[in-house]
Amino acid sequence: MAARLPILIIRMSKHTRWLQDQIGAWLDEGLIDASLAETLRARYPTGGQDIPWARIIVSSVGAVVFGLGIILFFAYNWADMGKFVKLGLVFAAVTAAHGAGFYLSGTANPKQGLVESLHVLGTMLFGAGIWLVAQIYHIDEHYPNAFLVWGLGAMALAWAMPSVAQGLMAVLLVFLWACFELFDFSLPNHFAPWMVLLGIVPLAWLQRSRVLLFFALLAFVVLYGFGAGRVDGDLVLTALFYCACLYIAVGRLATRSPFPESAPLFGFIGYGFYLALLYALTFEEIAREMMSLDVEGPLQLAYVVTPLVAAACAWVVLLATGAWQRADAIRRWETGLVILAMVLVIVVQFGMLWPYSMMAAFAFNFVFLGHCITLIVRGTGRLNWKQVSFGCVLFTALAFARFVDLFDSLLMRSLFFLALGAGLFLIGNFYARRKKLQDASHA
Amino acid sequence: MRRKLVLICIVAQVLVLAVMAAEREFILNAGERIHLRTAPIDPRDPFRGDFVRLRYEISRVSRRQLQGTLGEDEKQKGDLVYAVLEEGAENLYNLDYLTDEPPADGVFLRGRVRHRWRPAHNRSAVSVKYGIEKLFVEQGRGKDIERHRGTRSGLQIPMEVEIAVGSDGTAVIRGFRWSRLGMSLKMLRVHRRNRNENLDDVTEPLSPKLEISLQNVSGAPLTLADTSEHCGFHLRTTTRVSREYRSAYAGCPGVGSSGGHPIELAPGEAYTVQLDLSEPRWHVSVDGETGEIGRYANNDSFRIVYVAPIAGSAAAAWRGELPSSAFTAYRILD
Repeated sequence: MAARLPILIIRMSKHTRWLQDQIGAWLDEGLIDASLAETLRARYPTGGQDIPWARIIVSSVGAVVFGLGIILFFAYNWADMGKFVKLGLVFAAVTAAHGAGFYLSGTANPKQGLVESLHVLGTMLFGAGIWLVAQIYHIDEHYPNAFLVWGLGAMALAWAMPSVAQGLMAVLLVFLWACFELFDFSLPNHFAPWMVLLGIVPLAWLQRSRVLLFFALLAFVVLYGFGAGRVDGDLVLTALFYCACLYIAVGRLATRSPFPESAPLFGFIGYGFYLALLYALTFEEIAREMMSLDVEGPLQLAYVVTPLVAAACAWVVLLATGAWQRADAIRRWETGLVILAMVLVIVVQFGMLWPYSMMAAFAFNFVFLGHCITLIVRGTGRLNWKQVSFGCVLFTALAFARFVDLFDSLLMRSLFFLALGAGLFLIGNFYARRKKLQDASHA
Repeated sequence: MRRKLVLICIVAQVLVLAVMAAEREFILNAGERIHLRTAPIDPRDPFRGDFVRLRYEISRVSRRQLQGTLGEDEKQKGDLVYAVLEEGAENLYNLDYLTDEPPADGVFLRGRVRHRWRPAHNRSAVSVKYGIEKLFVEQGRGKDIERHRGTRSGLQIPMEVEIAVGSDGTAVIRGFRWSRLGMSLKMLRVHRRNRNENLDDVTEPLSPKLEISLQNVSGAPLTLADTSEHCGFHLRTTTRVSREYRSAYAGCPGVGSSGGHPIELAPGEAYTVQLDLSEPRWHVSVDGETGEIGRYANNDSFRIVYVAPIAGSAAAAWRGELPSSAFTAYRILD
């Protein structure tokens, strides 16, 4: 029940918003009077703060685009414009944008969207300023540093204001910094993921911002993978697998936190990476590569052990706080599969199954198959077509992978396709019958 | 409290920009001014518009010019190095040596190793970046500069960039000027080697015959000097060559010595010579053997450098060094 809490909250929120709209319509049509409308509105509040997100996002995007326009305008590099005029314009623009935002925020009824977008513009102009000062003085230093400095400026303001838009800019800029370091200079960047995790995720949590949290969590795991890959390409799979397990556990914990809306985000990213990596491990060659991984240097060890310890701790806390007791049978089955997969990866990675790579791949196949069945069973039980479809897609992907590995004879292949098709047909039929029964009972 | 924090962040952003600008402005005003010769090419930066990419003669430093631990120790990409410069003619500075230890005095530029340097792996030169490799110009002007600089097959006029150098070796571009003298290089004859060719059986010359023109591209008359043996012209290897080639011809006096006859060039006028590198005048000694470069240098690259012999002390006399495009025994490279 607890596991479904975030989904319920989202659904309730949607329904309440729909009801609020309907109350307005009933009032307009004369079906109810104003006092009754007020009573109903008070009874079904939409919850949360009344933050004008649409206006803030549109204004912020406008500010970003405007700032880009200014960068390109100065990039023309007018030869007739003296360097002190250019510098004056840069400083005036940054000061004016931030100054106006700062001034407006101190007025009696500050327009939050306008204040936010003025500061976003100010930070855009700050970034433009870095490039333009470099242009004026022909500076050709290590250019990714400009993204770092720009990102730090945005991050500082994101905390000071606090501001989700500045936070999003900071995530993007730190991400770009790490990508340019890695892809343009082949330099490892071990700081970027931690900057995002420690500098942005807590802000997103405190601000209860799902958008910022989603991008920060995604950026962390991708940057962590990049960093691991730079140290040793073979580390990526293991490091990301433990990160994914960590996200899944934290997502479950988040359902009982003050920010339950964050749970689906952790779950979405965590399961996304988890299932993709688990699928990769169903191939014997990949399982064998993981077996032969040498984790020797301190940096290699840190990239593997840090998410492993964090994930293990999160799962211990989750189980110690009664998650197992609260879960239904299917959720327990799913939890068991994730824990089993994690234990299997530890066993395989530290060479305990060496040299039986086929056995390891076989075990991963069973875990993956278990997840397919779980999704299909739960989907049909709850009449959730998305889960059923997703389970069928995963099952088909697994079946195709093994079909290529296992069957040479055309007869076996044809029988395999017949069995797979029949299985999917039966699932579809079973789902349709249950749906029909439910509709009939509702009628 | 929160408003104070916001204010601090805004001030910090402005200060970052101010420090960036002030640091460079200080060097521009107080730093030593020098000129470095370059060969520009012209791309575009999405954030800063058009720029001319500058490749300096000191951007690649041959093994022979390394000091400190650079000759023995590995250097990672991005490690600091210092190019110690010496003043040449026409206020153009040349590399004296490259070191990884900060020099106590003299004019030097601080740079960073561009690629990992492993002395044991027999690479011929260290590639260095000084942070002055881009000259930002108004959109469209980069092409004009490129056109003025010339093409591989035509007249090339070197760009000489004016640099202000801080006491710690930080360099800032102040501007640029064009050399008063341009040079063009043509290959009149080449011998293309066959893979299985026995050079002892070849009767025709193995080295190229070059035609070199020196053109006065300034607005005033210019005085050059040369000898009948063309001792004003010298054959030198580029920094890409690890073997040491030395001239085997003893008929010319030392570089820059007196003895040439003056050549007056009006604005736009050119002085053209033909240099047959298969002749004894251009023979070289390499690895204990002597002969024409076509015999020993299949892929090694060279430049012809014009260094005027001293002929009188007229104010119009040109005193510098002017290198040609690089070439191998059978083609022109840049």
